[in-house]
Amino acid sequence: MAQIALPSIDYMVILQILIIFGSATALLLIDLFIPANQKKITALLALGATIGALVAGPYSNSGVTMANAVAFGSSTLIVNSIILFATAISILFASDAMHKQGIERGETYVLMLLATGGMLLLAQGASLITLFLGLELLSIALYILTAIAYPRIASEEAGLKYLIIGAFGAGFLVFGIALTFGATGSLVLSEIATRIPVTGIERSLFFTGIGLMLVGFGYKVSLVPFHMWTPDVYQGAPTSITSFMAVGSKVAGFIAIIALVQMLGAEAQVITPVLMGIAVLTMLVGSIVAINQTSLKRMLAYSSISHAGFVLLGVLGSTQATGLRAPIFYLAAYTLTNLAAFGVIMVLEGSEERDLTLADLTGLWTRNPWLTGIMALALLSLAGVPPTVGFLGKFLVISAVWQSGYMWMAIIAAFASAFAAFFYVRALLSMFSGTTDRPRMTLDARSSLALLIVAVGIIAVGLMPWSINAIALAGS
Amino acid sequence: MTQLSWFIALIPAIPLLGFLLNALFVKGEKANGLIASVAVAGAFGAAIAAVLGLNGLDEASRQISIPLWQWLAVGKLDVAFGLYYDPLTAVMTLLITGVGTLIHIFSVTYMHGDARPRRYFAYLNLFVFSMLMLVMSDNLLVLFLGWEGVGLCSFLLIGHWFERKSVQPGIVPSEAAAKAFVVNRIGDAGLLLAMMLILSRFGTLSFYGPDGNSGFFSKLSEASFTMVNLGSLGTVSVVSGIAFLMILAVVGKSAQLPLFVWLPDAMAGPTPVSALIHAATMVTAGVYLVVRNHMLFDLAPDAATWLTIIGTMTALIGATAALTQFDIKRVLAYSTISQLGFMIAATGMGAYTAAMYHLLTHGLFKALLFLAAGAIIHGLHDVQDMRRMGGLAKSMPTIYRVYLVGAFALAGIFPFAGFWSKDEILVHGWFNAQSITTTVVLLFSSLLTAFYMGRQIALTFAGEARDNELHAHEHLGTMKWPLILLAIGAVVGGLINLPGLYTLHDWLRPVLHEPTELYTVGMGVFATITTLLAAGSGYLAYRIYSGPALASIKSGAEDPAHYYLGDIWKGFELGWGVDFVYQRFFVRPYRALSEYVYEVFDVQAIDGILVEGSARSVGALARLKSQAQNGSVRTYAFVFLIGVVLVVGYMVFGA
Repeated sequence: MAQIALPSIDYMVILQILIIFGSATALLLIDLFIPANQKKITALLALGATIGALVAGPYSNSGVTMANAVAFGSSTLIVNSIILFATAISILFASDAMHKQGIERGETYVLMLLATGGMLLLAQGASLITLFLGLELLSIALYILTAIAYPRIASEEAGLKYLIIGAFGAGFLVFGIALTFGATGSLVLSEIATRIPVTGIERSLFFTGIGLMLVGFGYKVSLVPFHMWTPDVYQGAPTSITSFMAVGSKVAGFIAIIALVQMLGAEAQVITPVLMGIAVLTMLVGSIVAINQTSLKRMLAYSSISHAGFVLLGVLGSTQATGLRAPIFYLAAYTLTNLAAFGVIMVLEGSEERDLTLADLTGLWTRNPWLTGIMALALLSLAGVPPTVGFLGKFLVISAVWQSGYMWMAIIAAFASAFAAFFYVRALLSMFSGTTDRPRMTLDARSSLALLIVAVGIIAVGLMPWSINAIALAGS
Repeated sequence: MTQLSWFIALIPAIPLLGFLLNALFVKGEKANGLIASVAVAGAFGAAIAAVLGLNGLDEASRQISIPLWQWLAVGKLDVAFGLYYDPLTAVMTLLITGVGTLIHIFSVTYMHGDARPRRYFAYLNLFVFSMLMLVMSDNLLVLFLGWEGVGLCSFLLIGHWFERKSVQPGIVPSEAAAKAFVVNRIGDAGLLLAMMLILSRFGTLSFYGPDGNSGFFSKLSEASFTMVNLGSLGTVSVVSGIAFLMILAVVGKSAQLPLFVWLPDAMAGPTPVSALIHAATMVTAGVYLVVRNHMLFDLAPDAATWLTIIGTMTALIGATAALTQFDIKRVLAYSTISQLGFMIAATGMGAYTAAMYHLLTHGLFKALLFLAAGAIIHGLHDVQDMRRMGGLAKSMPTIYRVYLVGAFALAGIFPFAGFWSKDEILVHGWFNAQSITTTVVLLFSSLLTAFYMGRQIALTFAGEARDNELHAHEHLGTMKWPLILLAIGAVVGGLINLPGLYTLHDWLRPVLHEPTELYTVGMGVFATITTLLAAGSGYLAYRIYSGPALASIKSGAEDPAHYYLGDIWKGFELGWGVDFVYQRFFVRPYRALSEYVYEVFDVQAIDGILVEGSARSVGALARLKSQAQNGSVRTYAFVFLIGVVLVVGYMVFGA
């Protein structure tokens, strides 16, 4: 019998992934012994694991391990930190909102950790198999999380839809991987980069594979025309899950797309026109359709679609000298902003299960000025008004695109962001205007803490963008 | 930091502190008003101290750079969050904080009894802070922060009375606020793109750089012959490209043709807001931007020509529109548009000092007119229609006097402030730039200015009260002294740059490097003629509207001139229909497009036509479909597939 040579593993490269998966497994067992009305203990443990992984980041080793399947580097550190930060905030949100709505279950937090592990795997993936594994792990956990508000019909339907479209997208991804493997004989990104076929049928097969993989990841980050599940799923899922999903899976999915583009190196110019077209479509469809929305979560869903277009632009711009800073910073900005916006909506829902509309924001100021202030910050950041972090993200992306020579793209982006301001302003107006006879609201400590952190982040990172680097690298 | 630097840093810091105090902690109308006023007054004190300090330095070293912290350091991008202070900034800070203080004090009485004084005063301080950041920044990115900040505050303050479904004359405050914001954002996109072009060509956004000689200004001349290829649109020099993009920003912020449509509607905000933001300070930001970047516009004569054309046309359109309004604030709003046109035209002709001169005097007398109009509205319990006024000279004697002063200054009557500054623009156009057409149009606009002010004085103050139900009374409170001080300013404001003395000119020379000119006899004759014409025009209007035309001035009735001019008059009244064009060609199509895309991509999913099929193909969904049909998976997959076919098709054939 032939010996199977096991690849050597540097555990310090996969330290964060290990912590997350390890604690998820442990928590699954521990949760059995936690009584149903005490699930906040599970939340607390999950939070601890997330923070532990966050702190462990700077102590991880840079390098590639497990037969070139998983890698870690300085930009991975920042991306992982963004993901773990989003998870920590989302756990705080979930433990407040799900408890209020009576749908708190221990497995929620375990699933969130598993999804987080998938995101980290995506961010650290150095081979196509790792990327696929990460995406599937993330997706399957999210399908369940979306439907976790059983017996709420909307939630179940959203979960099912997500599953169907997800399976659809995964099929293309696998097929793409197969074609790429067939054309190059390798699954490792760095090896594929050196073996890109220059002519013949192999070249067509290879780029078809790349195209299918772009589709597979593109649906995850809601690029047009693979975006249509987004509003339904965002609307149907429990809001605390929506915020987790909107933020985490977008960050992770984009990192995978960036990895693909980087792998192509100079050959990336072949797919540039496709990316450009998709980016413009995504920006425009997102911001045009958002105007007609009344449901807040749907509105934010379309807004997130339009933001995905901006990130993709940043990816385009980063093929040149400017590096990956622009798209990664944009993702960080997007994370902070959307956590704040969805967080406020979640708090507003309270124990109700209703889908909130624009009208529900009316007179929010009189009900809770602090909450209004945070939502205002989030909306301004979404609209890209300085000094919020959202402005800086747009600025960096447009500047990267401009410097890469795609002047017209930069112009379209600048005006798209100007017009998109319209629907954020509409929401802003209704919060500050009108009166409502609904009672004042008080906030739970967990949500307050989480909202405070993201609100401070929106301003502080906007004024001191380097603080993201500084925080992520602290301790190393 | 030196002592002077501390004073400079204090100027924006105090209003920011005032904003934070009011927004977060202080409750109670009195305390809010007090804190806000004291904050701006403190900033004014710091501004005076800073000017004195700057005056003590020798001319060459009158530029102080205060880097506060590193904002961006990303590759080529290296931007400090820094303040900059030079003679140009100094006069702007004095205007902003000086007029700002008076308007804050005025507001204390004006806003008494308002439902939301805390918010009002907090926003007002935030506005002053943003405006100060705009003029005190040492690079374009921080300037942009202030630029968007003032736009945001303007938006919030225009919408202050959001609960009123409509304020006179039929504007919805919340819609006016959104309109102002969105129109401004279009201009802002121009500034953003100008920054991109500067950054990619010069690698810095700093005006002068930390040592005063390493900013993009110092690199402009070497780039003035580099061309940018715009594809089918031809080529343009880099400098002109930047200048044209900046013009877009100027046109938005300073309410110039074709983006001026937001300013008349912005009058839905409280009147002190109109005085501070939409007359004295924010709308002049565009003029400041051009003057600050004058080296750029000097090297881009094609762009400068467009500035002149835009400014001149706006001056004329604004004046003709002001002629026809019956709303007391709307007259002033169109007048502001017109006067901003004068300033922009001046910058286009290279008369930067004249533009700044007019900016400063206009800031005084237009703030005075707005505040006085506010006091009238206050005394008449929110009546703004001049057709219902008349005879206010008797019931509001103080307001009448200060209003007259403001009107004389605006009309350019010797020796009031507006006479000197407007004359300088006209003189420059006639003698230096020798652009006869421009000067004639501007002169004609200034005669119209005198005419509409004469009309306004007649309709508002002359004769007998037309509506006795109004119970006109004058109750000024803290409104009195701001009015009187501004009136004094409107009388003597011209002193800052009298012909022959040229104080402002000398003060700004380190920044603008404009040569001092001799004042010739010809210029004196020219000035005499223009002021006589203006006086005649104003007097004529006064006689017409307090005499023969008076009989037909009734609430709801048309102006008598409408009878003779018909649709032309109507066209003037609607601001030459620019708004209509936008509605017809941009707003409505955009909404239609949005609705169309929405129906194709969104509604179809909800109405459930296609749910049937998907339910069959996915058995488990059948149970759900009758209860919650909000989205068809089959449609999604179909659109998805089209995308896949396109992408793969491109990859197969394109690679």
